[in-house]
Amino acid sequence: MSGKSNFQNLPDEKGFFGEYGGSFIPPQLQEIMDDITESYMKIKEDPSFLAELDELYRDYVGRPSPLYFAKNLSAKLGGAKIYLKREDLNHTGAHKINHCLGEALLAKRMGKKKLIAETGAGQHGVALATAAVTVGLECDIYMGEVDIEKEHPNVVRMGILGAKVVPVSHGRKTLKEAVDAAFEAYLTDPVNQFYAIGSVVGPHPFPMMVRDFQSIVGREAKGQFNEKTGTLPDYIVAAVGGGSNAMGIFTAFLEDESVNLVGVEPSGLSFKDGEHAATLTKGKPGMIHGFKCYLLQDENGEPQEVYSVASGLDYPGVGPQHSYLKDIGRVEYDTVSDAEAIDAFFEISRTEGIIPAIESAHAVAQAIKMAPKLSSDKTILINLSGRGDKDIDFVVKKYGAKYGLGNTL
Amino acid sequence: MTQYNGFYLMGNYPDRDTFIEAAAQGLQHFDFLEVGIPFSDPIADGTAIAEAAQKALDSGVNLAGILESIKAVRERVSPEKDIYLMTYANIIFNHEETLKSEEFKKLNVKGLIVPDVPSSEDFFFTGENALDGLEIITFLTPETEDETIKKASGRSNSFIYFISTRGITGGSMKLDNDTMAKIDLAKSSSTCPVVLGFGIRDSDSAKTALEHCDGFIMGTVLIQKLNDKGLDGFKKFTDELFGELG
Repeated sequence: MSGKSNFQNLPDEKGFFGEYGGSFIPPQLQEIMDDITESYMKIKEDPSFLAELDELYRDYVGRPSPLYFAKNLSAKLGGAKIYLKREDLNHTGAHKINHCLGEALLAKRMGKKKLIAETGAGQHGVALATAAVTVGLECDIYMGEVDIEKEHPNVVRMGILGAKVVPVSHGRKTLKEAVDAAFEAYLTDPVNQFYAIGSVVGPHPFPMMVRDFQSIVGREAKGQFNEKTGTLPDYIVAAVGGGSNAMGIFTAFLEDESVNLVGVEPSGLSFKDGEHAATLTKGKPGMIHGFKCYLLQDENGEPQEVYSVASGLDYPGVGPQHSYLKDIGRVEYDTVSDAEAIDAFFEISRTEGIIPAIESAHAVAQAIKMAPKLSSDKTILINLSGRGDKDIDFVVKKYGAKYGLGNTL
Repeated sequence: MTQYNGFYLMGNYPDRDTFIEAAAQGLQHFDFLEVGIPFSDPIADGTAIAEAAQKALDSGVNLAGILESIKAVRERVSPEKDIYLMTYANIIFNHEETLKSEEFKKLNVKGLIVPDVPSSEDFFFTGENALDGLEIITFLTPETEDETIKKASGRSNSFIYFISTRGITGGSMKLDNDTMAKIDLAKSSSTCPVVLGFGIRDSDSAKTALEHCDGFIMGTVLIQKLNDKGLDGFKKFTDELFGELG
């Protein structure tokens, strides 16, 4: 394993993590990205910016999020001890608020008036709409009409928060068209708007910037874990869609060679084309949405349809740093199916009283598979990236019968 | 300087025969053709071209089929007419073998127009990755730094694609004094034509482009003509356009 890499220096100044990342975008967009990079590089060293962000993290989000020893689940599995980094307890219910606040503050300092973004399931949209309110910016969220129908509660939340949800009615009316529409809107007025990308994806500087804003998760966890146990965890497990929560918890541990890092991708229904979103496991390098990464694509180079029960994980690409960490072997990427994730969703709900987001349930499922094979002096730290309130109706309707929840609900 | 005007068509769209016919007819007026290879996430394109790409993909259009059609176009037009491929980086990345093949060379495709490979990244298709004899066309914009304009213009051989405005294809064109100064700098730094694209949709905007540049590129409006009025509408529009341009 080449843990010797100097991870502090990544990405390079053009945004590359090895061969991945970079900036594959039209020239008229490149100038805008250069402007964002320049502002970010200055601002991230600015003590007043960092102080403002820290205060928001502490008093608004409720950071640090707790580190919890899952004693019941650990005892039941009878192997490694499992710890949870409780990002589910953040304001708005997930880790997304960490980078949304960072992006919103940066936008404000750059003199922008409005945050824009696309959203699929609505989680990024809700977190960004929230950040916009507290920082004092307008917010437009682009969302496909099909998703608006499906994700009604989040659409309502965004509305209550004063954001404008812009319906996208062309093509398949889902996330991809929402990305196109948001890009189109962005290009018409990049002076007043800031496109807040929702994960460690997209052109440079977003994979770096979103990672930096999320890395608070790992820094806190490292201190908290040491306080509890006097050492480092043996394994850290996190779900990977675009990869923001995983980069958030991995970053502080990249140079600690004794810590095994495990990213969990969704294998959905099966490994058949269109039935999973296991990009790093089944994809090959390519370019999408302005950056190079592992990509699920057909023989013509067309991005494939992807699927996962967790809408936050179904993306055909993946963060460029994850692509790099896979190639150098620093992080191991494994997969968890829909069925395993749903099992884990109920298991942790019923052993620990914590209902996780379906995305986070993928990481829990991985730990459930690993723990019994490890001795009791080993430890596994899970990034519990979000809470499951958004998922309960769907889960009970679709899977409830198997878990004793019949039509009475 | 003689003009160098181009037009864009989505390959095999709305169907193979219409594409070949429109390409051959268009090249009676235009000097070059940009053939779009559809990609599902075309971030430089507006709704008209993005929807054409999605329809083409849904009906099974791919590079191999489009190259067959280009062969048919080649048989019908003067060898002096130039043909370029326009697509996105991932399509090129996945078809390097095809683009290096002898079969492909026979089609006499002059270069690649790849809007998501800005010049700062074009090392990606140069050096050991170079596609033999295929030039990656340089894009310049109203915001490109003067030094970059000089350097990029100096190494271009086919033409320079000057994007008239921020935004995506299918918008409107505006040329302010700063932009015109950049165009002049590009022209004086290069030996090949500087051609204006984005937002040119009628004879007025084409005339404006020709006042400042060596040529213009038209795309969205032609896709719309094919959609709304078919091949006859396309032919009528291009005939009238060049009639008015004189």
